[in-house]
Amino acid sequence: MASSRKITLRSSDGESFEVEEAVAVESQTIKHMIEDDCADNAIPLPNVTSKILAKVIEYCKKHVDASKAEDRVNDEDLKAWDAAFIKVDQVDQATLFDLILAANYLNIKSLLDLTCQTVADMIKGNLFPVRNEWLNFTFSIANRELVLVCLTEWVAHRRLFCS
Amino acid sequence: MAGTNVHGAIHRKSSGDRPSRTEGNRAPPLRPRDLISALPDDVVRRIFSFLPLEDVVKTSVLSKRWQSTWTTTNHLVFHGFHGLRRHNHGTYTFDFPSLVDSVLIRCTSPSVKSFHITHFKYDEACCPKLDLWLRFAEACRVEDLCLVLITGLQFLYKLPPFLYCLSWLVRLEVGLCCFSLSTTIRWPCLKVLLIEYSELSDDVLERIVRGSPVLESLELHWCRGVKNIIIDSTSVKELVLIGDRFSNTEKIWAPHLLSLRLSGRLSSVFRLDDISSLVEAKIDFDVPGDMRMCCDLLTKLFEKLRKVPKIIIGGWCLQILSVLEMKGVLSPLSNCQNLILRAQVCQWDLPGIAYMLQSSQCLEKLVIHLTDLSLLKFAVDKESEARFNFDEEDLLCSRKGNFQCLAKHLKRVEITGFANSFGSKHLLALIKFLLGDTLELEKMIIKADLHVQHGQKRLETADLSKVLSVSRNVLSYRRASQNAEVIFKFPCK
Repeated sequence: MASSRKITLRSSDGESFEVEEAVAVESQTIKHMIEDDCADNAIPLPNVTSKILAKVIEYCKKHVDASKAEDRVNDEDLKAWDAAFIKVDQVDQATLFDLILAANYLNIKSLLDLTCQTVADMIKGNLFPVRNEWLNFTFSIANRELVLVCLTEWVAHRRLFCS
Repeated sequence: MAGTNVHGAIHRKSSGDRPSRTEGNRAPPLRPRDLISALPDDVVRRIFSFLPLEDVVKTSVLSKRWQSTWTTTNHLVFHGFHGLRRHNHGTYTFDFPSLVDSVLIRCTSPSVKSFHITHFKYDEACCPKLDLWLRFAEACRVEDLCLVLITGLQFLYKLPPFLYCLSWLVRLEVGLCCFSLSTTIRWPCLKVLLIEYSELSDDVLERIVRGSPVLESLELHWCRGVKNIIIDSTSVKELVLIGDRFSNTEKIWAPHLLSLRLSGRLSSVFRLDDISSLVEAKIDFDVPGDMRMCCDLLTKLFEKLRKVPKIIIGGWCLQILSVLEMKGVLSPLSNCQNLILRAQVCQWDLPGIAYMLQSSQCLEKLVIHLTDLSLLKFAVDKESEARFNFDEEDLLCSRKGNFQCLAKHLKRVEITGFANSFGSKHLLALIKFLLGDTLELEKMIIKADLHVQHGQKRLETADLSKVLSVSRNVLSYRRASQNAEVIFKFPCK
């Protein structure tokens, strides 16, 4: 009976979204609110805009549906769906970060891991431009040497023995 | 979730169109590093946990503000990769211990979630240094500790006494270490324990289990010295045992265990004493010895596994079951509902599959992962070999009456890796048989991974057309169940 209950979520800009309870409790924050009985009316989410909330609900719905389906082959399909969901180009980086903040606030571990992994991949792929001039005057000597080792030798060493 | 939240600020800045270069009075587009700067600290730490440590340190060059943010990371993973020093080419002086020291000195986080030291080339001289690093981990209340060394089997690292009483430890992985024989072990929060290539003993194992009241998963890979695995704790749900020719585990007694995985090489006198709560068993091992001993071992093993609803069987074991089947040994009736086989489905496997089909009276799901390996790890004597010259369709059809599961229960069949051996007559005969005699079949999914073979640049048309013609054949087989769907999946890489 509880599984078919609908929960209303209200975004910061006043828009209401009705979702099934199973989808809503993907968020631990919302789950605790429901358990503490604060969810009779709409649950206000002052930190999440409607644009982002719509995306979060889309993510949670997909993952709830995927866990119901019996096929084991769905693991790869789900990963592919996640990759397409999170695909960002330069314009949409703001959305990515908004998603991180929302996933953090709503406490949705899988979405938080997905978004953080994406940012980590961007850092790894040096999509964040490195300002080399900082190396010259910002650091103390010891710190500079450590960073130098990390930038050159350690990475080269890993490439040598890791592949 | 506490921490800075400048959500509103971001929106103020990024609302509106992309500013063009000519407009000087619009705010410039937010630079990526400013966006990460706006994230709360614990999110930043989580991002750090997805990066290799050198990239985390590298973030200190992103901007002035990021200079020392990396020192707050609580995920310290060091890969030694043999820690070589090379001087012959002039520039190469990688010194792993110094690197670890430099990082540890700078780390400011009061608690460290993960502390890993792997592939560290260890010798006696490093012992005090390693002790010191582990002290650091202990002081930082480490939750996930991994220590995998590279050293000779005679030079195992003796774990220091304070390591046996880590109150915050949740996950521990050690490789090439040895455990002290007399210290009390107290790991009140430990849930996952993985020990590789180490010296243990029955006594040490018992102390580990007794000192870890919430232990859920225990894995022993290639360990020496444990003869009897006795786990009476109710928390341990999963046991993984991977043996090699040095391992000598003979007995497992774990009445509360839920999942058991056995791989590698086990001792010839191996047996399961009590596994009454088991719901999942993976049997993918082999045993040295003559045919009679192996058959005996497996017969007794399957007698114990009769109540287990999910069974995974690997190549060698399946082939021994084939030998049993051809000898006419009756398979014990079992409760298996979910059967997963890793096999090539050749003449050495088919009787074993028949053995399992007969035994699993309430089988609902059958999964076959086709392997490339041609497994004939045992020497079959001439007499047995002669028995294996059968006609595959005859074999299956003659036993049809014994396969109770086909009448009522089997609903789902999955075959993956099909392209590796498509066209194999035994596999096709099996598929034809299952389609033709499973009355309640709902779905048969055949997944062929179309990999490019070695040496080829792309998939040959000949391969593709062969796959297609085989698929067409299969789709034309007679189906006993009106609702049966046959689905082919061809993921291309």
